[in-house]
Amino acid sequence: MDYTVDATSDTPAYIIYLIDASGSMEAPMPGTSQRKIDVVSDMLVEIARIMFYRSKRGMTIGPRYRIAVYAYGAEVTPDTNDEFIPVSEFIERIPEFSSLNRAMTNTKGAFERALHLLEKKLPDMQNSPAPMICHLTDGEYSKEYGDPAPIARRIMSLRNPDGNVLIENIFLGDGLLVDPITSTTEWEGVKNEGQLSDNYAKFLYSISSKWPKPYTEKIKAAHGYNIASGTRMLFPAQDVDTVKMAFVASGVTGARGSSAYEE
Amino acid sequence: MSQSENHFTFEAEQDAEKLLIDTINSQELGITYSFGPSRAARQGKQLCEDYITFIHVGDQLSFVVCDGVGSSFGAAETAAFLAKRLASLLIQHAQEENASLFIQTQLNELKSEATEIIRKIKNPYQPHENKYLFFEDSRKDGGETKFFAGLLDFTLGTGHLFWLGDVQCALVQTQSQQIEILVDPDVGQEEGWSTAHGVFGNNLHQLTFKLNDYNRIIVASDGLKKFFKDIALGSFEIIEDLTHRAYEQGRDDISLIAVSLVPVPVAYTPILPEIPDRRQWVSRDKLAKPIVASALVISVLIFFLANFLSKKETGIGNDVITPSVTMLPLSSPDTTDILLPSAEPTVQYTPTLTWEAPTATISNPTAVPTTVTPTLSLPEIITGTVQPAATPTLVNTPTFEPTLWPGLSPCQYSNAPSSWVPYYVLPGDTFYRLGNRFNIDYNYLMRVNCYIRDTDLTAGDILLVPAEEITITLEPTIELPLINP
Repeated sequence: MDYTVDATSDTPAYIIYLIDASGSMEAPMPGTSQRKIDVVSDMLVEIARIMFYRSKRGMTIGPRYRIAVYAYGAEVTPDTNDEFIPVSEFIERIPEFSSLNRAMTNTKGAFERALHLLEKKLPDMQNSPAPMICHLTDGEYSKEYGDPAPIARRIMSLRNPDGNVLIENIFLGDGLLVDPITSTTEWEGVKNEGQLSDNYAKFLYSISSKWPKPYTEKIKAAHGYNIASGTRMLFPAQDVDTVKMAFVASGVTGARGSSAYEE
Repeated sequence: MSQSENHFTFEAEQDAEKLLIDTINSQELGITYSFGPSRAARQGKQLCEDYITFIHVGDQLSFVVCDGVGSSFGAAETAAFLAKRLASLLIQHAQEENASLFIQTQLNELKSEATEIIRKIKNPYQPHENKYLFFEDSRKDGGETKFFAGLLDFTLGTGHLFWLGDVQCALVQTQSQQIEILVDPDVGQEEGWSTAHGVFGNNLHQLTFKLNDYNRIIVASDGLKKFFKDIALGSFEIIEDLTHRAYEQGRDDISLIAVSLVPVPVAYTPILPEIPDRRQWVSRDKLAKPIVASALVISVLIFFLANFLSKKETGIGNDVITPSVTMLPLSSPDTTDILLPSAEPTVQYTPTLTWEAPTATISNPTAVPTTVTPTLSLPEIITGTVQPAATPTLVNTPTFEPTLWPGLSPCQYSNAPSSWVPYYVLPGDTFYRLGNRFNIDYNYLMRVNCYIRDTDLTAGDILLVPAEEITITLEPTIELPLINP
């Protein structure tokens, strides 16, 4: 259990994206004229492109990643039909989140769907890297649906031989950190709650896994980010660069050299 | 390969279905080369992204090993293009005053020609698909390859080596037999040659040396570095074994050129022809073999169980029963089919014979029984004594001769304890699970079977595993005739 398994076509990386598509995601992303949800769509294209490069050989795209996407507002929408789909299919089905009329934020429901999918598929993942959930939101969950934390903790208790399931949280908003990120390449991550100035960021901190050292080394080698091992997988993102860093980090399980097939 | 006296060339075939391994000799040198396309290449799904070539003309030999970067566009074509051009350039121009600068200049000039090759590669996807767009994007960045190139001039007694990226090279010193490994210190910082950018990263690396100082040069594309010492000392069997492994799931192409200078070696005769191509004996993409294997396993189990049940029904003990109660014929000395205890007339013989459930151990019932001849030693007639609580034991333990098993590599045989037996990998098997099943550390199981990663295991592979024990419990009931003396 050391998060050292490489993603290959036979042992793909399993990643679930939980995307908050509630009405607040219509608001502009700080520093841009783009809606937050459009920034997220762009980032999914970006991560698809990264996965493509890591999965291609010749003119074929190996199934090195398997991805599931859930968008949630009041309801949870299984954009990949409650299944993990290979990266070649994901490339063709990148969600665009065109209409947002969801007034509520059913975060718990999204985590429950992820838990159900993981419990169903975990037996198939025994040789794969530990699965990862990448959750993106810009605001608090609606109390009507209940607290997602117990579900998130249950997810984090699931494991395969490579390690426990990892949860990464991306929180879009202003003023989330006591000391804002000035350089994404130098930022070392969130080491303790005291660095956070927002209560919901602190809540997300409590349901964020810690970065395993092999992953932070890969992130550094492949993308130049200096996230320290042991810090929380939490990205308080007030700009596009931080969102990009967070999405790039979510695909780190497949990062290995220049070819998917090298020894 | 074309060959005439002191003049031969070799160019790899990237769509080859099988690996190549051979040695050729001339007056000055011997060249052993191997070319192991990856599994996907051998299955015809794509071209091999390695390329090796050498040209021997007169008193010069040039050789190039290229390792195309799989994540780039047209890596196979790029590797082939550059290898051919470099081998030719070296033969023609290596005596330039500044060979390194010349080669680097040439490398940068070759990119426009190579870009034209890349431009012509067909995009197999539809223009409206994202995949099409992604591939077109990657086409702009061109193909990339790493390489190691050499020129040996036997008249001048000099050698030149040029390299970019982590293609690996070992030089064996003539006097000391010490091995020098040449590496690219910039590996990890994007070093190589690109059809779009020419030389990128840092400058070309170069070494010039006297031929007398070294007696062997080994260049390998991938995966052989840790075996350089063995290869350098002449263990060419390792080349063969490792080249085979290029076929294993998830592995890259593996190719090598080993040039022996002094003395000219005896040609290595590969035993390859005696080993069928792996596709013939491990068809991992088809479940047919695992299914056949499963059927055979089930057959073995049924065979053994049937024997036990048969023995149970006939009342015959399992294999050898050692009676300890003296028996006498019921009526006459000629009657041998009914036996009675020789009890004193006043003693009531208890007709209910209590058996303890006999247990038997069968070694590895999941193996294919081609070499198993289970024979049962049974007395034809039970005479003498009977022990009411007899414990049958199986005296004939099935044995296997692993050396007779096709499809296992020499590496597995040399590593595994002699008591281990073959096992067909079934869908869903992992080293982790098999380790638990056979009560052995899965890393050890992996190493013994010459796998580097757990993830390389595929249904249809054949492993050597500890003989598995299964305990079968029988509850026989034997009724003896009631004797009322």
